[in-house]
Amino acid sequence: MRKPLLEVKDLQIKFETKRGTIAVSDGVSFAIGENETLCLVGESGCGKSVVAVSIMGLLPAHARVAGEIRYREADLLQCSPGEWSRFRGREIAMIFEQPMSCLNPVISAGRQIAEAYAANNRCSKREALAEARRKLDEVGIPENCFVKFPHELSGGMQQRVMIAIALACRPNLLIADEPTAALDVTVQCQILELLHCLKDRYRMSMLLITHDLGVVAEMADTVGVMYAGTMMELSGVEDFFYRPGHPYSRALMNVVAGNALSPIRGSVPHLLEPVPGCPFHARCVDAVEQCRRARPQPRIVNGRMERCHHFTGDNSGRQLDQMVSSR
Amino acid sequence: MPKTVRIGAIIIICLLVVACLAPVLTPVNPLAVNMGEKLQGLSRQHPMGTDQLGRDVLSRVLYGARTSMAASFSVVIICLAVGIAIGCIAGFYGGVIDELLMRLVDIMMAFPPFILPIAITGILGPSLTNIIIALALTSWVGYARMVRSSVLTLKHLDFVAAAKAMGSSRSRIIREHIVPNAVHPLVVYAAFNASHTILAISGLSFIGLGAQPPTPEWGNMLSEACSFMGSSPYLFIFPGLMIMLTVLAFNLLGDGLRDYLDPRLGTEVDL
Repeated sequence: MRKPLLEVKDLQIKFETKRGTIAVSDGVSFAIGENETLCLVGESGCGKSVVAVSIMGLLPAHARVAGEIRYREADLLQCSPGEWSRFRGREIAMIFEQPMSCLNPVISAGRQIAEAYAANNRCSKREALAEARRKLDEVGIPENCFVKFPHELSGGMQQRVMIAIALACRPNLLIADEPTAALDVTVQCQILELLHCLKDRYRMSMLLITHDLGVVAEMADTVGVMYAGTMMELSGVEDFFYRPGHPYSRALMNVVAGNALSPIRGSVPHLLEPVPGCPFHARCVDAVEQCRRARPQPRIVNGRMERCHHFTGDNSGRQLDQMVSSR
Repeated sequence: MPKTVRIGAIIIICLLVVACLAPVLTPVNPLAVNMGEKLQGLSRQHPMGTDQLGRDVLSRVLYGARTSMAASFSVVIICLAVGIAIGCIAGFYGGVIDELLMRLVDIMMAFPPFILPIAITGILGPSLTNIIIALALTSWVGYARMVRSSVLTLKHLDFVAAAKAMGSSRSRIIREHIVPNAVHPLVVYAAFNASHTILAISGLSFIGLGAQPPTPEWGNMLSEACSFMGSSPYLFIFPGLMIMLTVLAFNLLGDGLRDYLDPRLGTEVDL
């Protein structure tokens, strides 16, 4: 197997708060190969964004991080802040959910892109601006928007500017944290298409965080399902959609694939009071006594990982179409 | 843009033009003593009359604009530079640095604003330069406080995190992202500070601590005019009017800008 670009091993992130310690990420592991897209899905508050932010090294000071985040040969968690910042922008870049608040309100769009380029490259102001013009063209923004300020641009345009900023230094890994959540459906489509196209052009790898299984189907090579800070399932996109393994994945799929809306009952357990056993057992239709007592360990069969006591690697009996028709 | 801003700005620009072009506007040397023409009233030759040494009051008033504008602008510029630097460092780095700098600010603030300049000129000797230093020493604290508080809110905003995610260094983030966002509340403060400085300089010159005679300065013109108040009132009316006009202009500008820049007050929308 080829060496992955980014490898996260047993990532543990804890926040020390006044009301106690919260484990927002508990033993998350995944790997992203060159030119590959990994989608992280899961409900709100499951720790997806925290994992993304931890790869960037932008967690707040009260976060305690353990485990390993390996980018190529470097273990980012062992890096000094200065060394880590050399990866940001040039190697790993990030797109955030709210383009409006992530753009500096008093600097024009073009200059912000130039600034991102200049931050990582020794170059003259003119070169940076020329590069910014090229980037702006690449993300499909008309020339006259170069001098516009963020508030003069629409949400879709702002997100395009964000993408141009992220791509300013040709990163090898792009982390997109719900890049389309704040946008209109038609604009979402355009932005995803743009990301897809740019990913191929720059031969980037991508870590995409989303709630939208449609986006996953469109973009992903691998899908990671997170629940309450734990990686529940990690499998190829085909396996995930056609043979969803984990009961949580199946429930998620049920929500969107069923004819009628079938929500998952209950809500994500509060991270301040971790539940014993499998974190999903309270909402799981297949839960048995063992699920309430013992925490399932990750098991890997045929290249897919699951944390479930029921998991054997044989999902023939749980195919999606059967599942839908049985309802 | 509110009318007050325009009026204030126009007056200030006029004063600046006057200050720059004083030698062109009045060919008479403001320092030229002519005892033969002392205390003459308004005439065609001397539109504002002459003082007790026969110097032309008009040219002294115009050259006085030079002194006042230069002094108040130097104070404001020094304060902006020091205030922004200290405020940014304190706000961005926080911790011990912040604590130390802010206690320094507290100490400076504890002095009554007029006493410290008097004390400093007492030590350094009365002169315009020393007054500028003294006023700058007392006024930078306000700027630093304001910048610090803006930086404290700004540094937690998403675009700062986004800039960090792009690999920008700390100094770059401060320079390119924090400072441009932190300065606009300062514009209003600087306008009021400028008017305050003009008054303070005139006041200190009036009591003999600022610009020294024969330098034409409105404050010391007023103090020289005191003895001739009854016989030649024009001697203090014109410098007094100039002080009033300048202070008014800066206040109008500051007031107008405050309304204009405050998003909470409904400003007119240009359609």
